Amino acid sequence: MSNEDIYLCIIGLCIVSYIPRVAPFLLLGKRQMPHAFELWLKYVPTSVFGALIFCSIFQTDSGVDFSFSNISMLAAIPVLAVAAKTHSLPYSIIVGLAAYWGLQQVM
Amino acid sequence: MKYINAKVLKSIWPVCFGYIPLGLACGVLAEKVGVDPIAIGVMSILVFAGSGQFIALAMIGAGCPIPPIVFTIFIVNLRHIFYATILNSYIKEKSTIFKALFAQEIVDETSAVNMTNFEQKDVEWSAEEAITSAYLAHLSWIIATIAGCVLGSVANIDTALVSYALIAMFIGLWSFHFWHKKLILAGIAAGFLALLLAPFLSNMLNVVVATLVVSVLAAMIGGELDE
Repeated sequence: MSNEDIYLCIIGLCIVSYIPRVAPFLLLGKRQMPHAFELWLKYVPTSVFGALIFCSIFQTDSGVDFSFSNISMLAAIPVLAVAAKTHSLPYSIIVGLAAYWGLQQVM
Repeated sequence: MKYINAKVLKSIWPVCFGYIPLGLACGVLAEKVGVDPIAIGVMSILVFAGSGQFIALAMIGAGCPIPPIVFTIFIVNLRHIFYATILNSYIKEKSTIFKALFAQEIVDETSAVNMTNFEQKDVEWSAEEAITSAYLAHLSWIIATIAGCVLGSVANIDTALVSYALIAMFIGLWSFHFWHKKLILAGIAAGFLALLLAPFLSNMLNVVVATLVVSVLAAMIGGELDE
């Protein structure tokens, strides 16, 4: 991607990132969102992350890989355990990097 | 500046600290995909979204066109709508300009700190202290990403290992939704659907479609989320 395209992309990202951040401030107090819409929104983040995580850990260059030689999949196990217990982003990252590095050494 | 007090620092330092490795990793990824330190600095100022920036950079690196990148990051950052909705009730009386500036500082971590402090009855937490805390976290993120991008061009960094910080972060962010079984099931369902769609939809469009299909179905079938 050219430098010009990168800045164009950044402007686009800025706009679409800002909309969900600012919209409630502008809309709320004046108008109530339809309940069905709010309910749908509750399920969006978990779906995005589920999809992103599965694609990140099971998808390899040669297709979907559920085998025990898949380091990304194996390293996700301790991360999932720590994340479920602590809900901490820094801990998840540290455990993930340590687990991935450790598996790289032994496999 | 006058709002940088002990209470603010005590609340926000873990976030600032956590952003250092994360920002370094993000900066290194930026360097790998051909985004220079100035551009990543601008991106960190204007976009300020940890996972969003990682994904955008990965997509840039994969040679993805701009529209799917922008749409994906829109979906990824949709969750900020919840934080803004909650935080609005605490800063309702503030000016539109203040709200417009405050909105830009909404990310998972700053919102978590601010919502917790606003909720606590025994802690006096002003809107100014809230935005100051967020600014400190944002500053840490900007500096760390630029530093990572600069260091990435001189140091030899293991891309596979560094990229795993992103996956670990996704798992950490996903775990924020583990308070309800229905949310966990929806995430797993979206994960499997995304894998099934992968051969037909490239450039993360499988993630977008899986998200839309599963979240709509989950809201219809799963319905309300009782505590």
